[in-house]
Amino acid sequence: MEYLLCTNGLTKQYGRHKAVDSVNIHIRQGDIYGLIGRNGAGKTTILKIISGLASPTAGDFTLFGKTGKNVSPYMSRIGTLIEAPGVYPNMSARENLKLKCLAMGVRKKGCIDDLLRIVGLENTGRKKIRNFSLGMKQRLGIALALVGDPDIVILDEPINGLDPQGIAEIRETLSKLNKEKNITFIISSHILEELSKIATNYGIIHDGVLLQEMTREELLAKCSERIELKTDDTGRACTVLESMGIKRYKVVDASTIQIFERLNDSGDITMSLAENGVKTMGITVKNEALEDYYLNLTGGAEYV
Amino acid sequence: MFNLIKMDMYRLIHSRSTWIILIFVIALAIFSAVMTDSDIELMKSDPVNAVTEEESGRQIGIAVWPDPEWMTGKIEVGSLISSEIKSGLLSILCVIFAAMFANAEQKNGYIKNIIGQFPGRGVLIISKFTAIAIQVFFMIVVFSLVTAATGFILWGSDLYMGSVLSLCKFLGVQYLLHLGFALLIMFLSILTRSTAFSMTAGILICAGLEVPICSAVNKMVYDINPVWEFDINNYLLDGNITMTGISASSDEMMRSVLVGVAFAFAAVILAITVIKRRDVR
Repeated sequence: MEYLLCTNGLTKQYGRHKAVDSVNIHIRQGDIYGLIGRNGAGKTTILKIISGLASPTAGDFTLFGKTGKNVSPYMSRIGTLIEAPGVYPNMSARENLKLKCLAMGVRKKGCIDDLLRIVGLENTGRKKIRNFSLGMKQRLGIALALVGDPDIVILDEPINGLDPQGIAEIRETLSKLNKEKNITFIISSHILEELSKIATNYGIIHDGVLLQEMTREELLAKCSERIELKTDDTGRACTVLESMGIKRYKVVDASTIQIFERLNDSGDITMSLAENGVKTMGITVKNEALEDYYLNLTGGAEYV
Repeated sequence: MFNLIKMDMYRLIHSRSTWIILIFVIALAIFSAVMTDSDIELMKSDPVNAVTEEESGRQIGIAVWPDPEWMTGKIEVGSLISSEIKSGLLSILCVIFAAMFANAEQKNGYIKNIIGQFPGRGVLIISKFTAIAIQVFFMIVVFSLVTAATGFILWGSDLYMGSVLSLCKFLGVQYLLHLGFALLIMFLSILTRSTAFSMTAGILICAGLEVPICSAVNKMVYDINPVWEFDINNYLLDGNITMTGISASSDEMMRSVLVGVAFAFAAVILAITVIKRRDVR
């Protein structure tokens, strides 16, 4: 079994509008998969389908190597927090967790206390949820998703409403659970900067279409500082770069080479290229922020 | 499935609405018995008019029609409970409870935490059905006990027990009718995702606002064939609740049982179909 969860041409159509269009995402055991996209990109719809809250118009998903109706017995291995946390406002955090424990048949002693401690709500006592702050409700939503020790936890915009300290705490908690219990997380967010601090893999979605899937390393490489060289002959330019001892470079297209080392030597590079008869059409040092990369990819830069 | 039933039972016990409804059941039973006492006094002063009201059949609105025999001073417990339940007061509380209980987890979104774990989804309805059935049972029992107790306080030794078997039969039939009604409201709540709509619809039905429509249907059928003696009220939950008293014949009792069971069964099946087919918002 290569992937713990993967979708196969997942599509969801509302009338004529395709909210999700043939999406294929691939998630391995232990991944923290960040689903990035603007509001209305289709993130929540994908997560709802995977969580069993909505049915796809076309396509399906494979979970633990099982597809279609065979997935049903494994759905209890998924914990979810989709959109706003669903809680009973006239009950306490403990009572809300008790309800889910009963539904899931969880009888482990002290499990509710553990969950409350994990999300930092151990001191809420009998306080009713209606008196909770948005951040506290969000934490309770995460605790509810963790009931029954799930293998996969799906969190839709989990840091909504949290203050910076709360965000950091939740990030630490999720990282800890991922490392200690090997829980696979699928986290959606439109805040790329925040997601980049925790996610190991990314799926970038735009207008219901999955634009790109990449690992953390691949994303950082795309966003790292580099020299962008425009030339009329990339083949000969590469030979020149090799002769200069430059190994970390990448030919992007017929006229562009990205160089990831000796960033202060752009003058020397130009000179060497000229000496070898390679015309330099442009040379710049670029440093694309994660957000810029994302905006360029989704065409969002036009609206900024 | 049993885990979900346990969850809904826990929710039933820990919900404020459960206890508030039971308090209202007690208050209404006391209020209704006190009002009946006033009616009896009124009947004593105007016996001719009282008999006319009793014979007037199904009415729009909620009213308790006291038995004219009570003027003689002897009041049977079963007869008293029958009059109070037939008024539709208890069915209004059943409607309110069912609408609030069935729609709560859709309204606050708690359903999102659990529905994915139960891909069959039908069990979610079965567990709600169980909780509603238990609550309706307690509502009828509490209403009957409080009515009898209030009657004893008001009329003392004039109140006598009568046939326990007849009372049990009557309460059993009314339980099925009230359960059917509550489950119909549960289905409406799940279908419309609106507590307000299902509650209002239920209360209006209890208040008999569909009586003119029923009369029109009856007239239409009579015009087609006068021999049929068709009365649509015989096949409706509220019609049977208001018409099946403790002194009803076996046939009427049996018809009420069938109507209650049929509505309950249909409501559960329809609710399962809706929840299975629909995406959770």
